[in-house]
Amino acid sequence: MIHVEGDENPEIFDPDPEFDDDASESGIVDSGFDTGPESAAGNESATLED
Amino acid sequence: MTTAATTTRPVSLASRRQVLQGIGAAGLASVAGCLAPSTTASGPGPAASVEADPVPALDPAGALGADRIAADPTAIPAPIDRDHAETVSVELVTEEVVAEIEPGVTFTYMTFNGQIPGPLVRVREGDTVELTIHNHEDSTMAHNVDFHATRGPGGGGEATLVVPGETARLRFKATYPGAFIYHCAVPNVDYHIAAGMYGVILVEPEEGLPEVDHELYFGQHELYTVGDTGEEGHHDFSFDRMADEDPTYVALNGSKAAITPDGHGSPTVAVGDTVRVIFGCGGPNLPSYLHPIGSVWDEAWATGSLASDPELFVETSTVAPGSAFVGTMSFPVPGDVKLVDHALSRVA
Ligand SMILES: [Cu+2]
Repeated sequence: MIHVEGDENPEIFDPDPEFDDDASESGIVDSGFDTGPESAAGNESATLED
Repeated sequence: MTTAATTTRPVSLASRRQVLQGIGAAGLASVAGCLAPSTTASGPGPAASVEADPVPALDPAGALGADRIAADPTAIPAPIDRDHAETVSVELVTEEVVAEIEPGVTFTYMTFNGQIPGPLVRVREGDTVELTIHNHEDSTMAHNVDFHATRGPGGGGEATLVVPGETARLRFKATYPGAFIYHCAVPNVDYHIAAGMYGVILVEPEEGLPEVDHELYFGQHELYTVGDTGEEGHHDFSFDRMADEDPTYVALNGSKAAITPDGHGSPTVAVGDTVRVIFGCGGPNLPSYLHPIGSVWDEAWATGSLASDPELFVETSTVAPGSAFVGTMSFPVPGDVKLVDHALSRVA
């Protein structure tokens, strides 16, 4: 193990942040998967139309 | 294939403090406080019962919580088309889901957002990621996420630890480009990865990536279960088989033959198209020897190091567990190209 001492650098890594909700775009897309015990709905095909 | 097994069922819930202590004090080896073991044994050996009917090796297949666990390889964010840094939000939900490994064979998967691999996270070098992680109310275990795309304690694992129903936040800056694994990193991390908790974060270089016609996203990991490959019923997790690195299945996108015409369908491209593949090897133990049968990687970044020059015309790339691959392919002739692990004795 390497122990690192020094000042926090919240611009790089902030484990307790406040978010500015209207400043964001999404970094993922919703799979559309319907999961959870109450649901077993179908999903669209994985075929990519060219 | 062995049928004797020791199973540990996720029936009790660790407190946040217990799990944090596990991370800090015992690293990856600790399972104490996280699982309540209950041991069952079956298979060879003297029968303990005089009843006429043998004890079945497996419980019946479980009620499905989802009819699909395999990520759609095309359901990924579009290439980034901007020349400045942004703040990007990423919302992950950790969900435990019973689904089929193959027809008639069920397993209690653990997932990010119900899919394996977890959603492709896409940002640009210099972006700030605002991560929200929520552990589904119906979960039985604590989960978290460790991003290999950040420098910070545990890749965020400590800050993002959530018990069922809990939400946590983390902000980090993606300061270096490349494709990187993220994964659950609670003390029994290998179990959680083997149950499906891994995905890829793609940090595009500032100058972006060359244009291609299609992008596809896949991941490989191993499933260690008490049953034999193909044995119908509900497969509990096998810690013995994981310790032996003897998987029941090595799966692309979480289940057997998932992205094939026999599974959920295959992506279709045209002669003359170009494709970029983003591939994560979750492991937890086995590398993938990634080969496109009937083609070659025109360019391969075997370790996902997009800041480095690619290797050219690569037949088979070794993708280490806990590492991601990026490769491009072109298609001068029609026909099927099959992505396989060229350790060809591996099943599924
Ligand atoms: Cu987990």
